[in-house]
Amino acid sequence: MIRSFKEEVKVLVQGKTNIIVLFILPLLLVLILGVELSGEVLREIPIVVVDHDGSAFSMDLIQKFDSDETFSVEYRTDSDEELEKLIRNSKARAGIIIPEGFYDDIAGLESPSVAMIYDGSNMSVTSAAKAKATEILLTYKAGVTSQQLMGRLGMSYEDSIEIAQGFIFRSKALYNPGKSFQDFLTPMLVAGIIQIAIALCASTSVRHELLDRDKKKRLGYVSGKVLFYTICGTFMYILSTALLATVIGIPFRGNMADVIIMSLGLSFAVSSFCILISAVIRKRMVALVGAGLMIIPNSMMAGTTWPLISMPSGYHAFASYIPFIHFVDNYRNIFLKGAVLGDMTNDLAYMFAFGLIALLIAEFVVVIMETGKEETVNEDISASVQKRVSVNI
Amino acid sequence: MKIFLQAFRREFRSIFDYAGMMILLFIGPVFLTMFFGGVYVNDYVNDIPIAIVDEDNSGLSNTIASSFLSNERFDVEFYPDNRQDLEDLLYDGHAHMGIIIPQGFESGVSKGVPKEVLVVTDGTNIVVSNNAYAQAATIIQTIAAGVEIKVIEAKGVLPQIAENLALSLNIGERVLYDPKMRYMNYLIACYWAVFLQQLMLSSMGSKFIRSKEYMVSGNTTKKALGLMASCLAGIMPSMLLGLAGMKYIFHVPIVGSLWTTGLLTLIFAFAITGMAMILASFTKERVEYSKISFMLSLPTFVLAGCVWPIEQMPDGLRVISRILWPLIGYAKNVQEIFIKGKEFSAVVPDILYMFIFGCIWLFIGVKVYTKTFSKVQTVMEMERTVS
Repeated sequence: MIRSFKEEVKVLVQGKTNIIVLFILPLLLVLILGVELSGEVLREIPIVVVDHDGSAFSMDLIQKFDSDETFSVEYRTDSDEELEKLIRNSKARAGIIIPEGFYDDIAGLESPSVAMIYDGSNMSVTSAAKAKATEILLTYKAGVTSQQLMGRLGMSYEDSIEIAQGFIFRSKALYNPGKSFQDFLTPMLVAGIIQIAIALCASTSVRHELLDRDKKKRLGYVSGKVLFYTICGTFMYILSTALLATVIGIPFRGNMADVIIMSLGLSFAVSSFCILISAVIRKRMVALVGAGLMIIPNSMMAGTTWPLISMPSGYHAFASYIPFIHFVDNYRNIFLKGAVLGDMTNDLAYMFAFGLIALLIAEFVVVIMETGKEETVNEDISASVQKRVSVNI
Repeated sequence: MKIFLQAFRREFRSIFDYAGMMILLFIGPVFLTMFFGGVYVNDYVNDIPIAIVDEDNSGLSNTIASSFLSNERFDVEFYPDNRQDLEDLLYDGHAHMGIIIPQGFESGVSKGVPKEVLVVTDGTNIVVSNNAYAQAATIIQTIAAGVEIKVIEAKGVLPQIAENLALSLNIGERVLYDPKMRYMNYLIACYWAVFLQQLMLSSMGSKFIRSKEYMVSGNTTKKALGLMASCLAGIMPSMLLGLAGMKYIFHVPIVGSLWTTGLLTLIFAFAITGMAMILASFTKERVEYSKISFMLSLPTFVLAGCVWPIEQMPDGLRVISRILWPLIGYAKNVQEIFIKGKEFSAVVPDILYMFIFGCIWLFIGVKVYTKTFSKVQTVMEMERTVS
């Protein structure tokens, strides 16, 4: 076991690919997401305005949009077709059409319609734009109704405003009050890439040519590798969590000790499973592709972007066996909700049980497997590692 | 041209020599498109578990509760006694949203002193939270408009005038191209573009490493282009099948020009050829190459404007991203061509960008590749001579 652990340390130190895959690329993703989503919410969404009315009243409405930080009135046109063309070619992401006679219709109680047009091809922009535009228009409408009530029924300003609002409706997003995309997405994507990194390195780690040489040294061989990749994975989760919380500024309301324990569970489960793949499949390339196909889609299956409750039942059932799903929601909850270990003991137990079963099977497979037909090498373990490394360089 | 065609024929035939390569090019795109498409097959987030705290227990509060109960988007699973219990349900993840109707709500409305209805969502999952909030807002606004009319009527105003006063302004709304705002339409085309990138990278890299002796002898640039073309020709039937699956099985609206998509795809494949050569030179082994290329899928995807709009990225990151990887010029354009029918003129700048990117990185890639593998070849020849 120790010999096998040392073998992986040597590959890591002398090679360069595993260092890039295990450490550099996940950290690069942390940096990319930190910079990319630093805005947290969408701002200055370009919009186009078609003002068929041209009154001071309609201009006031346009001004309300332009002065809001969510929107920027980039284009003004007279034609509805031109508006649609600007949206089709992604120059503008939303549009407002104010009808002719807008002011006169309001004054005459004719209930004119203001049309909001959205670019449905970009969901994140459209949902943000819709929420904000509705808020602006409802406030504007309440103002118009209030003026009518004051003018026609002689109500006071306060009374008219209260009636115009019907009843007040307020929303509050717990744990992520700013509805920050960064807080929602970054921990999950970072958790996903670390998992992929462990999987890709672990799935190519069993060197069958060495096992073929000496059957007596097979017991404990995979345990050494599992230990190595569990440590590497846990280390990366700790480092990334610290960076996300301190440098990137994701609110971290939980406890680092809980992150460490959960990360140990996931890293152990993924390492054991991927080393089992490596033990069963002699061809490293096939093992790598197999592990990649099983682990990379996990981040989607685990409800990272699309909630699990909305997936078809087959996907849903399959996803419940994936260790990552028992990790990722808890990981995000440690950040945003301050979840504690007591809330996730079942998930933790599942990950360790999954890892243990995979490890036992891998040990069993390695001990009983037949010697391969491929030519065996004469070098000892360190020489073999040295050879692999030198090919890389 | 002769060298290019020769390389194309040679590399295209070699696809059939390796089962792995055939699976990668012929089955990979269809399988991945169908698999990922299945995740998003449902249009909406339906049956969201919610909780209602009704502190008022009045006719109006019952109307609000019943509206949520009869809406297919929600599943009212809990009626907690107080706000703390509601918060506990949200913390545990048993409920994703809560509605709090305060005590004295109905009497406040009838007296013209309304108390506020509070919608509390679990903000840790924005997709669920936004969906739930948007639908809740629609339900509550509809009820609020009715209340408003009744309150004005109670002031002695005729019903029709009360309605006109309450509806002083109508807000029409139209979502173009994808009125249901399906997550499928938002993401699957971007995934399709990423699948093309990953499978092209894998197949080209594998060939660059396997055929290094052939590639470094003679005109490497033309041979590299022939190799790229052979992989693209091999993968296209399966990519098109994936596209057909998107359209006919997942009902993704594909309204734009396939010719424009085809041209973008060709230029994109050209643009990543140099990068594949550099990666192959750096790793020299297929396994090591594949590890890095697999790992690139996620960072390149998040930088391509598929998750966060390109125009919302900080300028510096956008420039760096454009210098280092061309997916930013391809994936989102493909999605917008499919869904909106984005016009050719609107993608010309990105076609030019990818072409220039491809030329520069191919030049660098060929230099690095020939230098690396000529050296390796020399060492191998020396070893052979010694042995």
